[in-house]
Amino acid sequence: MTTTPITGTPPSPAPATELVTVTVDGKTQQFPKGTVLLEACNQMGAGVPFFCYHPGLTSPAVCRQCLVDVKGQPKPVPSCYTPVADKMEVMTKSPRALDVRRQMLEFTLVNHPIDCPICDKAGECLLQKHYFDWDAKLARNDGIKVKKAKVVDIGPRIVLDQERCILCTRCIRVCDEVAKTHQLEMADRGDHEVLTTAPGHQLDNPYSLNTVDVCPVGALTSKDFRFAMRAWELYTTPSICPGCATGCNIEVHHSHGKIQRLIPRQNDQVNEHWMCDEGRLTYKRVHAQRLAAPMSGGVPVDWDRALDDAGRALRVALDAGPAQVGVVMNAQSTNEDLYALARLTFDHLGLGKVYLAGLDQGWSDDILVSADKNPNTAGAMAIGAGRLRTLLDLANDLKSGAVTTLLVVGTHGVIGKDGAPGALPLDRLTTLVVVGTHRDEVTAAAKVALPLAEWAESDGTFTNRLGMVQRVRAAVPPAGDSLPGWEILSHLARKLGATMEFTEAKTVFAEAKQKLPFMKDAEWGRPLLPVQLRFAGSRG
Amino acid sequence: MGTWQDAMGVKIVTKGFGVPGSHKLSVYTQRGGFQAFPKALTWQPSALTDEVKKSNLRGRGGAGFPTGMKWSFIPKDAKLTYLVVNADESEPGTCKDRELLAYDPHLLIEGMLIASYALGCKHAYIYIRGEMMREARIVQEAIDEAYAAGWLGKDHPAAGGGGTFKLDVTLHRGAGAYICGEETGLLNSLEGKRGWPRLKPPFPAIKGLFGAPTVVNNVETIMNIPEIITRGGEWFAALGTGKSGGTRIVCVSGHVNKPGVFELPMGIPFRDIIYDVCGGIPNGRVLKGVIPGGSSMPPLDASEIDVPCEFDALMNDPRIKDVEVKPGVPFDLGGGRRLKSMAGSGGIVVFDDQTDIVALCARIMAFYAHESCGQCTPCREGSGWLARLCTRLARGEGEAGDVELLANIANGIGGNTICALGDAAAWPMLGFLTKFRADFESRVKAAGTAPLHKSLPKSVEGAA
Ligand SMILES: Cc1cc2nc3c(=O)[nH]c(=O)nc-3n(C[C@H](O)[C@H](O)[C@H](O)COP(=O)(O)O)c2cc1C
Ligand code: SF4
Ligand code: SF4
Ligand code: SF4
Ligand code: FES
Repeated sequence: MTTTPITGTPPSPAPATELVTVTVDGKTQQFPKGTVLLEACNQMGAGVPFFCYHPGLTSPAVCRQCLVDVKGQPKPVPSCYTPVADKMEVMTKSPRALDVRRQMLEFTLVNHPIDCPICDKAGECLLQKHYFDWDAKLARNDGIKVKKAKVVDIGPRIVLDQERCILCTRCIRVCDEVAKTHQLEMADRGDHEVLTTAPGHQLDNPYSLNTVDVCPVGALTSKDFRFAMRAWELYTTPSICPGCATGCNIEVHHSHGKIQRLIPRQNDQVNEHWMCDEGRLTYKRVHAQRLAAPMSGGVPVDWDRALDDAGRALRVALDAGPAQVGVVMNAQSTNEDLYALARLTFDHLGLGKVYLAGLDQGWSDDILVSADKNPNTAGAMAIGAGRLRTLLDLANDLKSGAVTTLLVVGTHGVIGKDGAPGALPLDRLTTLVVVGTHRDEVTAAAKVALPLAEWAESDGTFTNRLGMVQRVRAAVPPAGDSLPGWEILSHLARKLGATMEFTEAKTVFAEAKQKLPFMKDAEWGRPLLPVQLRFAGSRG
Repeated sequence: MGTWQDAMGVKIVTKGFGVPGSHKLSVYTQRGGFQAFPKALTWQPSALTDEVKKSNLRGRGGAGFPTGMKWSFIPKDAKLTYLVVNADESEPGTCKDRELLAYDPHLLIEGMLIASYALGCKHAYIYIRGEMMREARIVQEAIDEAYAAGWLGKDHPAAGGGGTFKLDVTLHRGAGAYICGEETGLLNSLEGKRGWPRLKPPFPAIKGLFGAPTVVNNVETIMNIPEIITRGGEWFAALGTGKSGGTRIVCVSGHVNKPGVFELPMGIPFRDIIYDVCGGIPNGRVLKGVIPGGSSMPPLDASEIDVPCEFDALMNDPRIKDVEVKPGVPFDLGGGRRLKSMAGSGGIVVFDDQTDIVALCARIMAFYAHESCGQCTPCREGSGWLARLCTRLARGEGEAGDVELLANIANGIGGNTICALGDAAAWPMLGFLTKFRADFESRVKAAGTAPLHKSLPKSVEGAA
């Protein structure tokens, strides 16, 4: 396992072999040979508008919105399709360039319905943005517009508005080049051209929702998100997808303490610009069936009482025979929660029967999706350092009576339902203490159940399948009275007579970083406040 | 060098016209066919390209690009190359390739054999317009005959090439889209993809059909090759004028007494074509103007018809007015170059003084709007907008400002698109406005009914 330190910021480009000097609007700067002129212009702050260009896809140069003047070129050139050349002189704001771009924008708008007031993309629409930035003139087309279909159900997760589509082909290229399946195509010609699926086919690939992100306008909308929220009412927090061991970098978009959607955040070493549809919908579990209050003996109690009861129950068991006390860790937990649990279990209590739980293996591909559906198996394995047993071992130990008391921290993948495949005979236990996120049969069976914050409610780190330690940030407040795992475990430690003085996730991280080789290069990063969204969704 | 009159009556590609059974292999060989190809096989392939260069043969598909030069762009070390014959002929006013294919398919096959040998091509394609069902059958029969006779699909000793040469030819029928005549749209269509033109560079000579270096030539262009090999590039060049060798086929339609397809001397003036070759304007009417090379080329007005029908003259002759964006402001082809007109595909459309110019223009715009492939924004949206505005002017319902708007839209399309179809819509629009502006202005609705956006309150305008 490698230990590349990644904390969620995009890596800087590889050192360039050859640099060329480019002058843009009178300013001069060097760029690696082959850099796309549009990128060069915009890195220098020119703000050249574009629709069809996307840094993660090939450039078809169809929208013509990025035209700039290049000295020596008879006509404005599409900067998205032009590599920089040495001594290139570029005028992005010559009267001709401004004029021609204004005219391209007008062409894009000629048949656009301009239904911004009811359009989901409004506020993060590139067409709106460019119009306000560059044109803001009244329409000269006072005649009729071409009418197209408004609500086309093109797949299980996506709705298409053909009228709003500006035919940039970004979505087609996402399917072709990322999902590697040709599910979208253009039909008809001229200004009657429409985006569509082939007859009898639908847009249902496992990466289909990326088309919604890249759509510069409101033509493709996610069934899950449409009509839910105005984009400008959203706040964004960078984090990591909990869906599998790949650890795609994401932005959590939330409002009023509720997550509204997850979208991918660029990290060229992990997920480039993309994430899978399944991962995108993992946010749902953050707001469903949550264990909101501590429970003792099946009734809600306050934290003091719950911790007292949990401490007492565990103390009794420990005194009776520590060999019969087992602990379940979870590969869904952050490194920080796992580290705190390891400290308590191994160092303070000296227990030996520690098991690793997590969601079952699932499907995978060679694009992004890992079979391991847990975001931190690598971290758990490293922290467990060879001391972890499997849930199969636990089932045997429960059946044989080798374990009679169990502390479970994180119930994902821990099955207690009678008769369900892989179910554990929890009824054999004398004492079950659970720190869990959800109201499920495991928390229901517990003598004491303590509410645990979900990934989107906690600060911490996940270690992905490549061994990269990536930063998870609390985006929304914990559900009900739930608390982060490291904090619950600190309180519990005190009740058990041990001292674990963690005051915030960062201090757990700092200690873990010192003690654990795989975390030695990891960084916590700056504190970030949630930022209100501004023209962010289409990655413009 | 003589004058164009010297070449009057010389027939190169229309020799078979009117000959009974001219499309049959037996008749073709009787007429002296399949002698140039065996001769070519004794040459070095590169010598053939040099001979074509010497001949000043220029592409008859529209752009008039020197054919020998196009061939020489194929990388010398290319292992796999393709020749594709463009038989998609769809430019309004153009109907020559159709006749050529129907009368003399074996001349095309022989030209393809020679060109393929010169280019190192082992498999050549003919991409024929979908609607040409009769011609497709004739060409396929000719191909079958050529296979049976061993011209195609069989090794020929190639003394010049130091080995053998064998060619396969496949006829592919398009599905009836004008854009599939654009060479890269054609290549995509031939590959089974949507007929969207490709971005250039890379040009087909570097990366063409199935990614291999490819030459795309028009039917007429290739049919000139056997005669160039038989009689020599110099003979061919001398036949023409200036930098344009050979003869020129024109397809004359519209208001003339004798419309038709004619092989004429390169450089014959339009006046002679209209009044001599085609017998003048019927019904005692007078000439208003003429489209010189297919509907995508800016028209000439009646005062400009003394210019020669030849590639360079139509682009540069000072007797042709510059196409303008507005009165006094010339359209910029890029880098300050002016647009006059072009010889295009040889489709000459003559119109008399009774012609409704605005309706004619509206019809042309409707064609390009319908045929725009939809790939790039200015052509997709602009061509439709031009068509709608022209149509409303033609109905006499034009709003104040429509004439200026038409020119402005066309100016925004011209030169800013992926392929030349955008220009094909923009140029005639600007050309008609330049030459016949009054016709358009007379169609603007009487004052007092201002268009909607002009009547918006000032406050709205200020806020926007
Ligand atoms: C929109 C458009 C349509 C065209 N259609 C034809 C056509 O039908 N036949 C043709 O030979 N060339 C057509 N051309 C020109 C071809 O792109 C290409 O230049 C030509 O086939 C090259 O042959 P040549 O060099 O022998 O002229 C078209 C070009 C454009 C832009
Ligand atoms: S796509 Fe953009 S411009 Fe179009 S209606 Fe939606 S917000 Fe408005
Ligand atoms: S749906 Fe969106 S992404 Fe797809 S072509 Fe239309 S505008 Fe572009
Ligand atoms: S110019 Fe017109 S026909 Fe050519 S690629 Fe663009 S949209 Fe298609
Ligand atoms: S962004 Fe360059 S043409 Fe679309």
